[in-house]
Amino acid sequence: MLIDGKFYRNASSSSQLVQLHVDASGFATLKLSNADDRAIPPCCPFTELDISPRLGNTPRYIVFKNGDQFETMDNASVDKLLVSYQRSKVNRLLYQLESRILIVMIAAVLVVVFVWGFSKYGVPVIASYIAGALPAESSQYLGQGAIDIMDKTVFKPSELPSDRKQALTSLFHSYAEAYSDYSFQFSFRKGGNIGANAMALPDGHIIFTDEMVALAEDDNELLAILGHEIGHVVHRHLLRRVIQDSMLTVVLVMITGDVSSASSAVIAMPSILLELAFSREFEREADDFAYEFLIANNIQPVYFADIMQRLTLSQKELAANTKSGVKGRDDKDETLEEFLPYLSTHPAMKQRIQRFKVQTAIQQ
Amino acid sequence: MGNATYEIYYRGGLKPGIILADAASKLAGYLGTDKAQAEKIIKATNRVIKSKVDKVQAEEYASLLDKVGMQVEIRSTSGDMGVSRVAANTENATARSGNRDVAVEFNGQSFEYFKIWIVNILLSIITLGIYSAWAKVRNKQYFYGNTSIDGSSFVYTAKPIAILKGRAVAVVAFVVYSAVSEIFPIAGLILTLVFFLIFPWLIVRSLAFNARNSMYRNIRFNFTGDVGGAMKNFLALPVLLIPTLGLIMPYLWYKQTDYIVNNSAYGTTNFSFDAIPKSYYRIFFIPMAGLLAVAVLSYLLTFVLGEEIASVVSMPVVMLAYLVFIGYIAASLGNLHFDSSTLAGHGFTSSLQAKQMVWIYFSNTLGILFSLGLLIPWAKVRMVRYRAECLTMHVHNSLDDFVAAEQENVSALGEQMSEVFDVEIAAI
Repeated sequence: MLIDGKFYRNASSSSQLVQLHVDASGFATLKLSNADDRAIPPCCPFTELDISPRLGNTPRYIVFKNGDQFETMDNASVDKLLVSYQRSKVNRLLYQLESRILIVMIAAVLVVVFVWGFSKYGVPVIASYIAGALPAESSQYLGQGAIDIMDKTVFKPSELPSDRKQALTSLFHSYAEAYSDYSFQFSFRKGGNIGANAMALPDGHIIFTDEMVALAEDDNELLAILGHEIGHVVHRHLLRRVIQDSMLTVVLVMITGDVSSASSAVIAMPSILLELAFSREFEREADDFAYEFLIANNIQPVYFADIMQRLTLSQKELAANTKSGVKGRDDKDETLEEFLPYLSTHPAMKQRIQRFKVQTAIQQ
Repeated sequence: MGNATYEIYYRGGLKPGIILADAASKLAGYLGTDKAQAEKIIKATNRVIKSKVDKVQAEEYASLLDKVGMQVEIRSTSGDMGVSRVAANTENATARSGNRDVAVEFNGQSFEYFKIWIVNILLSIITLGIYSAWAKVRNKQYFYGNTSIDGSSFVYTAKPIAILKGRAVAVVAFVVYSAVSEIFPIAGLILTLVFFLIFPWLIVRSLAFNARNSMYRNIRFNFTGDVGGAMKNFLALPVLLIPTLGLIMPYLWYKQTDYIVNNSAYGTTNFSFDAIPKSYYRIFFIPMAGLLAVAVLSYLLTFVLGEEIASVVSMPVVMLAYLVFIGYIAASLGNLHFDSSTLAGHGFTSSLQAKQMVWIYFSNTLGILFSLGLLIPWAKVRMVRYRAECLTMHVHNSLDDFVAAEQENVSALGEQMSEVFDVEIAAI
């Protein structure tokens, strides 16, 4: 069999038109393509040639031991030779896999399902496992930076009377000591632009804003919020979120490879959507924990529903007052949340408190 | 010879010194169409412009088009033998004198690449990432092998095992770095500092690895820049960005590209780079002004429409502005870099258009998002094809005289570390 191609001597960029010939005994020789029949060096057994894998219809390279190179477009003939000499089985298999439409379609489906499924479900499960396996102390520095920043920018020292603070702190401790794996610490801040809110750090430090304390019409409502925040700590949400976000970035970047042909939005958008989904999942888990917490402590779950509803109203008022003060936007906010639930960090309010109301009815 | 039919293949590019407007008027005259139509024909490169003609007709057409200033070649198309070039070429190593323009050809196909890409991803997943080193080589070689200049294509010669070793170390380093910096922030800061210090070394190793594993006509490319130069241009100089409020950014870009190109070589022959900082400032001025305008516009919108609505409306506006920004920069820088690079008397011309780049970026982004990522190979092929279409090499005499250089093998560690930590360094 004669294969047409170009021949480059080692270390030189000039080429000659040649034909590669492999005889019956497996010896490969090169001949110039013009008339005469002279064989030109190098010659060697076919088995000693380094043959590049087939890749679509790109040129094939055959490299001799001394660095001389033979380049050909005639992939079909090279493949025939490889088959008859039983060489490059793996590479031939790869080419077959890449060429069969059925395999390609199966691959497409499997890859899409795997990547999205793994990102949405696998990553949280693995993160949860890792977070659970780490000692509680590993989270102690997490999130600290965020509080420091908020103290410098938004928060102001609490203006609650100290006996109120002490009373609440003792109250909170009495319920929190059941979770002895964690050491809790409670403090208060004036929320300012944040308004009524509560947040929990992984090391057990839980902060209530003065506005949240004022918003509550009954201390049991604050206990309901406490339950939700303790849920974040016990379930190690911040640690899991950090692990999930890292894993997600690695998965998306490694799978998609180089996407310099498009804007970075192609990585950013899926990441953001998934991270928002993760966030909603965490809030749901904390709500579940709050529910169990209230039941276990014989407190009516409706307290949670009440304060959450009041909280939503107060947040809307706050938004209306602190920003441009355009009236009548409250309705728009709610519609936006309903229409685009996947853009929200929290599950929709109505859904959240539904069960806290319903179960209460059954209890009574 | 009796049955031989011929076709006229328009490789692309006008002959040096010919202006598009003149060529278009001449062509319009010959064809009896209007100038706009003639311009379109001239711009549509790398295709068969006339087929199934006999030798006499072929020569007539070719000489006509040659008078217009278009670079064409006559090919014989005889049945099963496919296409072989009749016009004289460099095949027989006889010295060719004079200057000629050679188009950079890219023959990749979206669907063909998609098949390779998707199967390789599946195999990488099944092998828990081990096969990914082989996938990387295959993916890269698809683009290398389908790119050719003057009838010869490129080869990516990296060995997958080398990449696998580098990748394993890099991934472990990344995991350790991520874990430590979350749990022990102080230690994390120290590690980040260490990373910054080895950054110049990573750049040099990465560039060297990729250059030495790129081959054309049996001769490898090379990168001989030293770590000191990398330190100056990629570490020390960027520090000045803050005190100068970013104003030295174009100068920084100039210095970095200058470092990379001047230290690159093909065999024993060095590339040289003759751009000047002023060209960079000219390129960045327009987008900078545009960005300022967009920022002011978004701020005004917030006043008029209120914060919530403004943030919903301004988001697509900002994204669009960003796309236009990067499209314009990519086109301008791409052209500047090739136009300013020479290799021992051979030069390049790149004619990327900002409008087209922006459109490609935009449609690529939309396509990828709406196809759940499956159109990534299509997007990549599109972009590379456009860049190749706009690139011409000016060959002086011949490309046969290059000699290979002595090179030591570079391990893939630097290059893989750069990849895993998402450090992108390239001149193109």
